[in-house]
Amino acid sequence: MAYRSIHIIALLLVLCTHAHPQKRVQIRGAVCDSTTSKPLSFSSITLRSEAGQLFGTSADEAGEFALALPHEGTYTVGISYVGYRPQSYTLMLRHGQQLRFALAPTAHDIESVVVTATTTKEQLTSASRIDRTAMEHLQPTSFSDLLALLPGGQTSTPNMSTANTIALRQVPIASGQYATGALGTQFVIDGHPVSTDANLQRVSDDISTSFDSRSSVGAGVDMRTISTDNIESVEVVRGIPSVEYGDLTDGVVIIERKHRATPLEARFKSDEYGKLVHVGKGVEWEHRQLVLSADAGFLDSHHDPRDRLNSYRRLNGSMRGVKRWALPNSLTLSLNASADYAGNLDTQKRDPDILSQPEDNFAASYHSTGLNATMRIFGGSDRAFRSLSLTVHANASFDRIERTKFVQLDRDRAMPTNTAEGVHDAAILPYKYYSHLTVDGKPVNLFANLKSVFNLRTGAATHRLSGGITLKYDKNLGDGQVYDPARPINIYLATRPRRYRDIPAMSQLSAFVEDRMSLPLGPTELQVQAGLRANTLLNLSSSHAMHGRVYLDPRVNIRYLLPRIAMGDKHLVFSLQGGTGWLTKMPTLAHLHPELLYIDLVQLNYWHKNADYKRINLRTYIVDCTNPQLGPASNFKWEVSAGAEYGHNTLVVTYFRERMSSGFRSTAQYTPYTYNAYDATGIDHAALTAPPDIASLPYTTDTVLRGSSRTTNGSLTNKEGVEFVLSTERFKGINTRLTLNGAWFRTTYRNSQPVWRTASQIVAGVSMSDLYAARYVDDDIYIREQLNSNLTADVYLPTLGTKLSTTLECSWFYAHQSGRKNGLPVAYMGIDGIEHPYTEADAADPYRQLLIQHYADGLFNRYVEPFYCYLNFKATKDFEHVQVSLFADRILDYMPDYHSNGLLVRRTAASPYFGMEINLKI
Amino acid sequence: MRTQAHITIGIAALTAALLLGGCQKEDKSVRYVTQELRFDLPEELAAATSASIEQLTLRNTNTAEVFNIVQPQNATAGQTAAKGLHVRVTVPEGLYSVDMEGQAQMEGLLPNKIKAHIEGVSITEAEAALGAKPISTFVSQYSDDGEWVIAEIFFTGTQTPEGMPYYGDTYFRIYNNSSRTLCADGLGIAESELLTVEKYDYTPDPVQHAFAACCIYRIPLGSNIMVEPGQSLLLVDEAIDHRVANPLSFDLSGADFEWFDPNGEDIDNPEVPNLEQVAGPSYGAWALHNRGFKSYVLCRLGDDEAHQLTAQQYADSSSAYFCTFYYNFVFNGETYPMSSDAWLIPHAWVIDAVNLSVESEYQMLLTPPALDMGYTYVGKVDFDEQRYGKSVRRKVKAGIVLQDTNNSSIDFEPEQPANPHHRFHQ
Repeated sequence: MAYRSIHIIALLLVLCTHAHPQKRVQIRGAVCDSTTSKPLSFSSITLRSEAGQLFGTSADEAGEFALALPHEGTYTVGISYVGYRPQSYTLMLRHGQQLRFALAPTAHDIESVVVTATTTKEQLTSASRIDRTAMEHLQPTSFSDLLALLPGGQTSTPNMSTANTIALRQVPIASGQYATGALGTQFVIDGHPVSTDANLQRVSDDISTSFDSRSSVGAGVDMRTISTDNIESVEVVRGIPSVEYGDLTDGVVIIERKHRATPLEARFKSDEYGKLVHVGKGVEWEHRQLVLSADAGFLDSHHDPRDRLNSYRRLNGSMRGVKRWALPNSLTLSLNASADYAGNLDTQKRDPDILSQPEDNFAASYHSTGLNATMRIFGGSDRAFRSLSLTVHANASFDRIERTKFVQLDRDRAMPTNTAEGVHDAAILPYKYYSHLTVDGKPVNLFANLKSVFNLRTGAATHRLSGGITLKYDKNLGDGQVYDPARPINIYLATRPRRYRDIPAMSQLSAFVEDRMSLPLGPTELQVQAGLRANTLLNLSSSHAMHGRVYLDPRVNIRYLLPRIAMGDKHLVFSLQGGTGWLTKMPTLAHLHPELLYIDLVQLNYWHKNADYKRINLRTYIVDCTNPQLGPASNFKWEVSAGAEYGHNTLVVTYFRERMSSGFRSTAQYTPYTYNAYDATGIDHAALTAPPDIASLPYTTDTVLRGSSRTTNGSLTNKEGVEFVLSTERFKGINTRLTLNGAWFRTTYRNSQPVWRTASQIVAGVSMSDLYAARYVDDDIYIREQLNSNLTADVYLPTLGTKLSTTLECSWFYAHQSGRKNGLPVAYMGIDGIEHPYTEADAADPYRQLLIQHYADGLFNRYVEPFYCYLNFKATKDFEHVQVSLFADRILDYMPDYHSNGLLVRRTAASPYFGMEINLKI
Repeated sequence: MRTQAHITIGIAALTAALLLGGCQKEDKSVRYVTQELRFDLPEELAAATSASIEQLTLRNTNTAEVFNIVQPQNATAGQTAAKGLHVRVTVPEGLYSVDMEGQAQMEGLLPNKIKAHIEGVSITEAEAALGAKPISTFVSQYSDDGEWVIAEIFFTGTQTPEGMPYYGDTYFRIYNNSSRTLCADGLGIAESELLTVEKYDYTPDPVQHAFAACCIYRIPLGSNIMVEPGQSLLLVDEAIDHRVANPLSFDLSGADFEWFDPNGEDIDNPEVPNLEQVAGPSYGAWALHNRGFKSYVLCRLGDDEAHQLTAQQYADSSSAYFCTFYYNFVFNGETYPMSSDAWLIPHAWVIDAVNLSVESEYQMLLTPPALDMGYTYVGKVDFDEQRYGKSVRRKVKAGIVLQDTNNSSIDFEPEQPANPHHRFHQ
């Protein structure tokens, strides 16, 4: 992979030298905000010569641009940026000229008011940008709600009783075996990634799995925990992100929070599921070049309004500051710093008044504190050196799960208190007891990143070279699973209390280099972003296959802007874009360091009327479930897209494919274990005066198979799809913009490695699972497909301060299918522990024939749910200091009944979701 | 703002339309249909010279309305064998269960009682136009009250003082209902794989020729257990004094047998013999369906006492007695093709059968009507909190003879306080 990317970079350089033009006029410039002097990144610059020739470029991240012109002379220069009043100047341009443009923000510019996601031009790949206006209009409860704005997204009622994990560009399925996509979608807040690698907050071995849906271990960021109120803008990179972003597989969510002066703002939202309050303010001392902002919010949410005992609460607060200093030699130094707190309380209780049964409670709390600082030095626009930045981030979280359960037994069970291998007697659990369990997690995540950016020119091409190095450290300092194994929550407990702080830390070192090049080719322009990222895990024992290995992610994105075509007073611009690359995510602490598994084989369970004469004798094996062969999950992506732009009308259509065959999966493995089965039938029960003596009992030595699971790279996720976004300008007179976005996704989830399973029957008193395990090629094959579209008409009436939007959400079809599976084993294992090929003779054997998995033929049919649609309505009205908003999702629906498999399926729409909020600005 | 007004008007119009539409639907009147039914005689009575229907009842499944067809048409002698017994009934359109009792006589022999029981008969104008509906009958043997019968099933478990369910104390009582001493060796209890609260088209249909079981335990061959008339055996999950763990349970340490799973973490009272585990569903001790959705049979692995298979022989013939079947599981309108496995007990091997269900969920019987044409219950709704500690118990016909008409709806007293020491007679 490394060689491939080096070739691509080399090719680019060759291309640049070949494209070296005749002597040209070079001009440079910068675009900034006229009030704050903040650079306007990626603003667009157009020039028209007196002869009518058109030229254009866009500014870079620092708001700066360079342009080559064929000759000196008079040009009409147009500068535009979304949210700012465009300007036009007629200027005499000379070689080497420096220009500086300041644009005034246009609060009332009707084109700048966008209530949907926009396609960003800042990334050379598929990305959507959601800004403050869109968020205020959407009225979100948590970050999850914003995803409805992405192509293929759908509005849903917030579900705060389960972890909300992300699924980009796919039809999601509910299976923990395919959580790598969510784990591999990185959230970057103010320049630092949110690490969930040390998250171990889960009740291990709890058979009440309803609580488990509240855990997001191994599934990335729980989006419930992210409040949207202090967010300035969000960019969701769905395509191939810059190599600046690593340790991911699917995409990046880049969150920029408010760092500016704002009035005192207060938000109150209420809907049938909860209430939200938020207060924030930003202050600027212009002469000191200092901005401070602070905010705090509280959410109280109930998934079922009638059930007050299941609740989710979120409390968050943040303080942020930006300070700039002017240094000699026209250098600028800036410091961004923030301190954050987020608390989340997730509780589920049984109502003691309703149920006669004793308490069965679950409460999870997360208190996350973070400190973040970025120091950046900017070079002047005439220097090759552009910036050097150092970001450090420290996060410590104090997480607890408290679980209480009353356990009632109806037979004698061994107390799982032993911690050593071998033969021993076990105490017997009482018939009834209260079990308390605490999961104490204290994840600590440290992150440091040093990054530098240089500008270079080779011939006509401008290069933005960047490079950086990142060190990441994740450790959990918690007490772990704290409970009394003599009073276990699960009587089949196969683990023992474990302190998380005994698990070694993981740390990751990575580095990247990238070139973003812009090359004018006559009236066209080629933009290329090519880079390479290298990742390695430190602090791994040498038995791990990943020890000392470096994993490389080459990524390339190319955009080709076709000649501008003048039509009326606007230009029609076509562009082609494409990209490809590898994205790699390292395993997490939970994947790398699983709990020890205790296999207790009962050698004797002697019951006697006199409890003193009972005896349970066990043979215990301890299994280390670490998989030394575990590697990172790696996703290969590519996409092509075509775009057209005419004034404020844009259309982008993208086709993409992704293949990740090394997703994390829990995979069973079977091993034979030997024990002595004691025969108690000869004991004279009446004559006993003590528990029976094992040594005097006859026994047979038995061998049985037992399974244990390991994390492997055995899950495959294949994604394919087409995304489209069409956005018009506001039609004059009715002030209405139309936005049509949507996507066709086809996602295949399956096992990428063979799986082992046992048969469950008991035959003539013998358990098949003790005797045989078999290997199958197919485990699960889920094929999901859907086509969605959202058509939004939004009206902005600046004189009335009113924004109205109506969205028609259509699901054109949703199809689900299971891929054809072969139920015939490839091989089987007996108690000899040796793999034997599975032959026709085995298929005829009365026992081993039970290993064949039978699948109903219809299982592999494709089922299609046909068209339905919803209508959503949202409104925002501004008064002087007050903004009132309301929304009604699914206010109207069209959901015709349909026939599936000869049956009439009656569909009823989900109930409408209403809510309203008030925003005060003082 | 105008948009909002439009939406409000739209909702109002839509609501009005729905209300009006609803009114029109209510206006439907009951339609009567005349349907011809044809009762086919059982094979062994195919050469009968005369046959007649004595009682015919149709019960509308939806409205619970019962139609007793008075003076059913009697068949004339000689015609019956070929054409069956024909009857025309006039009832409202709907779904019916049909019960028939009658007799058929072979030349020179005493008349035989015949019966029919069928559920889910759809009677509509369209169906009536298709002609006579064939219904098979079977020879009723209720003159003989059976040899062995299941006298009591306690499947719900008890509740602890804390309100927690407790399951180790479930039991069966099997009873010698004959007039002679019988040997119990090889008698088995089997639990159905299917539920009486689900109805699907199973392919192949595992219940057509056999009882489809998930679990079989039996009295070991060669135990020489002899039971006198009117005496019984208590088969329990755990033969221990359960009052130690749950004061609201009972002492089962005096049971005759317990089912012990050597593969699971089960406990074994060494003083009470164990049932033999022939087949089991999965790893872990066998727990009865505590809401009563399954059916149970008393059976032998063979045609009679003298010809019984060993568990090993039964398992070795898994190609004949183990079956995989397929069906379409429908949930929320979506179809999910499923496969499932069952052990087969041919109907000829079944000695007595009891279907369990609850009224609100009931869908189908898991036995042919000749074995059991009804079901008994604890609780009429699913998850009845009051079900704990209650069993189903067979009625006493007279003296030491229990009632056995092969209809559990009639033969059993539902929802009886469970008592493993219950005396059926003095």
